[in-house]
Amino acid sequence: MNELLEKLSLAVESGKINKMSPYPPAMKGLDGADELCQQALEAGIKPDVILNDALIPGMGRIGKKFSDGKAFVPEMLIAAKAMSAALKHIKPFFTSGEVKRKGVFVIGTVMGDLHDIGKNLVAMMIEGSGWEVVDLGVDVKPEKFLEAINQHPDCVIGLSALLTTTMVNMEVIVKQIRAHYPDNKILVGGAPLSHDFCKKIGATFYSADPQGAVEFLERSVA
Amino acid sequence: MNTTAIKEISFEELLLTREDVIPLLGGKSDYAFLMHEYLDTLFEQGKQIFQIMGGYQVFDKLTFNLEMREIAIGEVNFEVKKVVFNMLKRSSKIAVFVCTAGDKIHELSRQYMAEGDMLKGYVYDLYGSLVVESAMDLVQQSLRLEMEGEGLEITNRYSPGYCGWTVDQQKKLFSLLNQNFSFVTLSDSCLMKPIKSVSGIIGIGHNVKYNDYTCHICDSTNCLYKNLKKHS
Ligand code: B12
Repeated sequence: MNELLEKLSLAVESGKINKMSPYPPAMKGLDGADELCQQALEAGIKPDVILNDALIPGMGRIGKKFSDGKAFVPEMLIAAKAMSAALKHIKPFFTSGEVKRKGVFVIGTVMGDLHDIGKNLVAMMIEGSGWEVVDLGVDVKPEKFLEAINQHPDCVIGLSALLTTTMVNMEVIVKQIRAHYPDNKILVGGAPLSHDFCKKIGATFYSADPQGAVEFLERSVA
Repeated sequence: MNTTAIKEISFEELLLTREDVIPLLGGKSDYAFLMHEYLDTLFEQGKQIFQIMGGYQVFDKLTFNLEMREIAIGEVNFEVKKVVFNMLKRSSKIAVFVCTAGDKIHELSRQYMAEGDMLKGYVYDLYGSLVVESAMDLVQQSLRLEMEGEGLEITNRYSPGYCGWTVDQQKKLFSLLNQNFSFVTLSDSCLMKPIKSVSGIIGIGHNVKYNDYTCHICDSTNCLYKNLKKHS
């Protein structure tokens, strides 16, 4: 792979935002994701190549490390910051249509629940894997999900819940979505969930962490 | 007779330091220096950010159903399951507790996240959890002192949602508390507001004991505090 893209990918994975940023100490004074992405564009590398060959794999590696217990939430958040410093240069090409996203992912914390750290992390990682994310927030009622699917007919839906008392509301939401949109994929997650629960309520897929969701989405567009 | 004790806890009383927060972040701490600025601001502004309230109400009309592993406090029956039942079955009184760090820390955390600073938002969120748990340590400490005065011991604290005791039983728990505890409210889905709040029970008696280390009896596999020293 092109050396510049390799450096950019590593900058994202390691959370090196720009030249000035002090983290990680081992990369002090080096160019970060911000500068490297700009340089890659100036070198004539196509924005979709930068996105797919450098940025997304960089985020993917940190997500995988998190999922394997080798990286922690702060490291993922720092990497995401580096990713957005790079994405800033790519965004105009999304608007012009030159770079296409993989699809739309609609996510929300289900009605009755206000826990959203996990949901926010999942949204961030999925955005970093090349999807457009529509975040409906917390305490989201079924109607709001239906409305969002109506606007983005091919979207994948993500539901989050952190308590056993609110996790049951997922079933209500899944039922309503299924009644109107039987084909849309529904991902579920949150601390008290399990594969069995996912199956029982008729959702498509359960993942304990963001990376599992990213990989599922990857398979679903392949 | 039921006694009630509620207190406002000042942020300074918690005596929190950077070293209390960093281990909760996980992993090697080579990124820890990035948090110092956030933490220093939190230490400085903690007084304005946190509205810490905590308290307990002590009940002495108890019934233990050994077969069903249920505990009735007054007329209210709790299916606490094996772990909690065994730790509390020798109690002569039970304290029901609630503690909160207030709404503001959650609001600030989400404001930073919405502005795009996820890391700062996350550190604030984690800090809010630490504050409510540390404040509850103080509430528990004052219960211990009060009971020592009567020659009684106390157990560790147990919360609905842990060790097989279901979260929905919080409704019954809140039904026991008098109106002085209205600084924390419970929604239909058993979510406490403010978010940074905890609830539960503590056993009291001549023959109950407090365990310094309880992680081995808990079934949680992904707890932030698992095997950390500061854990009641
Ligand atoms: C910190 C914490 C608290 C703090 C702060 C709570 C807060 N949210 O601000 C305090 C101390 C206040 C607290 C209180 C309580 N808590 Co609490 N808490 C936790 C703890 C340790 C961490 C939560 C957290 O922030 N995790 C970090 C984030 C990043 O993880 P996450 O939200 O799970 O998200 C990840 C995955 O789940 C997944 N994911 C999440 N959503 C989605 C969605 C999709 C689509 C996908 C694919 C993946 C996915 O990806 C995320 C990233 O990896 C968890 C245990 C745990 N390890 O999860 C218990 C936990 C959530 N709490 C629990 C309970 C029971 C309570 C209380 C009811 C206890 C009590 N009676 O006092 C109260 C309720 C508070 C309230 N307001 O009502 C239970 C809930 C389970 C249950 N039995 O219902 C848990 C799971 C602990 C346990 N027993 O195992 N808690």
